[in-house]
Amino acid sequence: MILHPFPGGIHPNDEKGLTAHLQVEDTPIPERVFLPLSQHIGAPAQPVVKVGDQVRIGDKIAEARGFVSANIHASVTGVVRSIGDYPNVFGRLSPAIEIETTDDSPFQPDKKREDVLSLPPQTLIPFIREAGIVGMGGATFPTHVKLSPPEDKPIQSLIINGVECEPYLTADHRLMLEHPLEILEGIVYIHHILGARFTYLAIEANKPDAIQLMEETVKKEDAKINVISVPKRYPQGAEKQLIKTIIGREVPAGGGLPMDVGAVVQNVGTTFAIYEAIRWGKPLIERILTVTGRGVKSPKNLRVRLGTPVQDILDLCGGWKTEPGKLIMGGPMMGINQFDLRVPVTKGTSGILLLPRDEVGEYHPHTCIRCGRCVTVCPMGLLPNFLGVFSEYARFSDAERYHLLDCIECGSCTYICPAKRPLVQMIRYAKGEVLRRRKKAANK
Amino acid sequence: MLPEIISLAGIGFLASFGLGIAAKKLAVKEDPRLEKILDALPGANCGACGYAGCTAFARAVLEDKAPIEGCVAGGESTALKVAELLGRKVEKTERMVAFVACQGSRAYTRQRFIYQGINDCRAAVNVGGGSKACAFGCLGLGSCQKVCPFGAITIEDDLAKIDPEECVGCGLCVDECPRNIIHLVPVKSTVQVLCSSQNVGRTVKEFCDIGCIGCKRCERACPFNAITVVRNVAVINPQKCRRCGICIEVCPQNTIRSFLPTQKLAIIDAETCISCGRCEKVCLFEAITGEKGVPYTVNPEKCRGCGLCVEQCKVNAITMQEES
Amino acid sequence: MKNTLILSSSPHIKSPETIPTIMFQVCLALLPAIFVGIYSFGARAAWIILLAIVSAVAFEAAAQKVMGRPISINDGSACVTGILLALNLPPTVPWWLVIIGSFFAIIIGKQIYGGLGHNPFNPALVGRVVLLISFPAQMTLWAFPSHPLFAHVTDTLSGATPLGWIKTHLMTHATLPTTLPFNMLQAFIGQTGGCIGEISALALLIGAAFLLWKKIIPWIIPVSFIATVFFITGTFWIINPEHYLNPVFHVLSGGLLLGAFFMATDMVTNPVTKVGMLIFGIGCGLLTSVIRLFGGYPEGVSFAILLMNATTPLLDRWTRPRVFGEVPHK
Repeated sequence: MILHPFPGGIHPNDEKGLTAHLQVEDTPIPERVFLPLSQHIGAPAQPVVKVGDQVRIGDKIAEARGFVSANIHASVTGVVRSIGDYPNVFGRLSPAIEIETTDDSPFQPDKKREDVLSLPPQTLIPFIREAGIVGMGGATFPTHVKLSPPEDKPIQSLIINGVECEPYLTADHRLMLEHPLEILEGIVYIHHILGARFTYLAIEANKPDAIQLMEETVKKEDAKINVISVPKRYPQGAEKQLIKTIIGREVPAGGGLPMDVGAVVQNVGTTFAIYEAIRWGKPLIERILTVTGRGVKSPKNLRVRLGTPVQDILDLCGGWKTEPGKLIMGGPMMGINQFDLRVPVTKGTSGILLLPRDEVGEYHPHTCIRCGRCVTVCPMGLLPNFLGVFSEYARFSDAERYHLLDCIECGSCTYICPAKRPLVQMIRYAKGEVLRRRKKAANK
Repeated sequence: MLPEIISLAGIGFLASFGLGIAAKKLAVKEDPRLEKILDALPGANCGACGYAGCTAFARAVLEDKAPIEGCVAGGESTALKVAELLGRKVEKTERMVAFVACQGSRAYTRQRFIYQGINDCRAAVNVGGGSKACAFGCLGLGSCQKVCPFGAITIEDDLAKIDPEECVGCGLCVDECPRNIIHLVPVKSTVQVLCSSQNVGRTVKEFCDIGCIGCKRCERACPFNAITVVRNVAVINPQKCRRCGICIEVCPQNTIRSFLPTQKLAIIDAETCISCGRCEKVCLFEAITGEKGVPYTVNPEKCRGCGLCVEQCKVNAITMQEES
Repeated sequence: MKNTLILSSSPHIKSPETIPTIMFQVCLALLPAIFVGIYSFGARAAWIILLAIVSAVAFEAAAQKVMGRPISINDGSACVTGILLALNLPPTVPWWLVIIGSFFAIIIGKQIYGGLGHNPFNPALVGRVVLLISFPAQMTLWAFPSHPLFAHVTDTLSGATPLGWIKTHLMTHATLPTTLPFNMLQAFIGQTGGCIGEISALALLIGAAFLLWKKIIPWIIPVSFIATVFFITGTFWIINPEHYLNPVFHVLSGGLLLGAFFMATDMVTNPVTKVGMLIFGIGCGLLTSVIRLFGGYPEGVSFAILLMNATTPLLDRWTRPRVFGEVPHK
């Protein structure tokens, strides 16, 4: 198959060797979990339990408010202790439901759905919606919305994203190695819903074992899925870049969506969750994540209940091995820096990365030397150097003219910048200002 | 040599002739008053009036689209000048100043992490919500300073300070602060709670040495019922506050301050005083003493300039004077 | 301690490349040319190079001190400017000329604009062109390379650059002689007259190969620059070989290789877009050829690059790349 490489991209050390060979372990049930009402893009969920209520694992404790929102389920059996502000991944407080564990019984599916493919496609979406599934690669967009494209946007291509281009992370890799059949079945379900003509499973070339296993599984099950080895290059796993690579079409700039080019991309983690939801009626109450980095004593791949505080996971992995530097939720390129260990694991947490102090380095940005490396690596064809300067000098309308809002914040420019300029932060700041100004203008 | 001189002079002459014609032919007709209004305006192009700079504002005034007193920065004096130019009258405007409701400089506050990134509050607040432990505190990275067209804001030890003398009350900083802790107040109500923390007292003490802990002592002490504690932070009602400063004294955290140091003082005119004694009765601070038949006197040590006595005096014998 | 964690915006890893490592590698790439210069012109060349580096760094430090900016001589950019300036000087220049050149390069060419990253023109070329225009006699006093290491060359003033020789010859003669006083091999390995760093094409190509391999410089600018010079001078040579020099000579002699690989590629002063770089390179080549073939100066690389430096902001604005997913306007 002919691939259509996207422009730019970088080649950081992938550092996946720390955890790629480690079997996914089950974490002990946490003593208490904190489930934020907003673990997804869209409106926060509405609690349907009260303080003091007994909840069983898998019970719905908060309901989606509106279409673009997601349900939240109890990840342990226990008692609701509080509903109130709790630290979130952004360093702020946001409402969360606290459950104290009273019973460590696992989730018991009450039914096994055998006849999935004989059901009409549209009837499968409520199962996904009910299970509160969101994009688990980190974007956390509610999956049922993504799987309900409007009539006038037929989906030609379904792309399952097993690229995992973020360095360090191996959660999706392990998932493919340990649950190939389940993923395959999940893909079949999604295909059944969308009726796409082509189905692809994209895996980055640095995971040959996963590619081989998935190819064998596809062959054995005689599924019509193209397993594609995509070249190792960051951000290969970004939605727009992956679509370009595989079907050669570019999602329109200025707010276009994958469905505009007839594509839907789903992460393998999401696919697995869809399988569990449809086949076993299991809501999204746990996920696989990678605890890694040279700062942690024993790196692991873990299956973690949602709402588990980071502290519990750090304790399980032996804590810091070196002088603490940075603690990141997600990968090193797009992950969110943390300082509060009470922060819980949420639906979008793909990893916990601990970087030692000596890897974090000093912060000494220089003025731009116009080397143009950021222009070369930008996968969106932008001019990050100019965007950075515009942001510095508060020239936001100029920045907008230079397609500021098309930036996907992948971090390639900031990674490559020899002057060590915080370009992504500058761009994010400018984006915020542009949106603020628009809002202000609209209010006037 | 000569031909060069002649030819150069010729070119110069031709060019100046051309320029002269162009200036005449291409001249844009402007209202002559525009220039004059522009002269009267401060010329800082701050944008606080809502127009893109002073020229745009002046044009809008001429076209009657903007109010004469619309220049926030210039204040009353500018409004008067513009009104005079146009032969119109202005309504009196009250001078406003901005202040930062936080005094959490580096020495008094805790940091929750080490921040690496752009020196700008609006950018920094997106990284972990800002490194200052108190989520209601000044980040001290100077977004307000950058946006102030009058150089009234300085950053000292991670804290923004606004010089009330330089501040013209344009409100740009109020808009810019990501923590929303800069407020505009009439210049006369300068006793303010310099804290915005809605945290409970225990948390405040954990983060900061001089934050409002919501103890309500000021609320109880205020003789004018001007203070109420709302969401763990004291709020002063500017309509009721008379700048007596009792709250400043009772605050255990030194959170309430008067940021303009001038204090008013009541003066009784001995000639007019009829020794009725109403002022003595109304004074809450026992600052006025006297006997029947003798003009009453004010003890400047005790007078707090609240002005209650002025209202009580039937013969208008009491005036308030600024004490420097 | 809770507050010892560091927080920043993503990404959290950075490439090991920094400004000092780039500058260091550029210095490394210039070593062959420096070596050939010293080998050919003796201790005097070494002295000029050293003086240029020291004075450039000193001016940089002094300017930053006076202007109250952080002293950043450790980033190596002043060192690179010093080396490039020295390599662009004839081996016979008096020592004070080097200092003046450094002054104009660092102070006027760079610090006045705000330091590294803000200068619109290549600082070393600003220094060189100021010297070339102000001190034409000293700046065109050439020496033939004399081989014995560290021999004094100030006595052998008879040398001339190949391009200079042609220009002077054509002033008095209608056509070029059938045999030139220099051959291609000499120009290639560095046995013709010229500036300290420009005589050996071989040494420059070794350095350039290193920079291209390390991806320090983009290939577009030097390739389009040299190709344009080759194409234009070649066209004239085909039309009238009696009057015009062989294009291979044009490429190998003079400051073309030094300019194309080390100075036109100065990242601060060239465009950041690919199309911009292409136009920049072609423009440099065009101007160089025009000056060489028809201008008063025998060499035009410095002028060409400086003139094209001035177009950089415009080129950047005009050649914005197509944004991913952008539909071209009709």
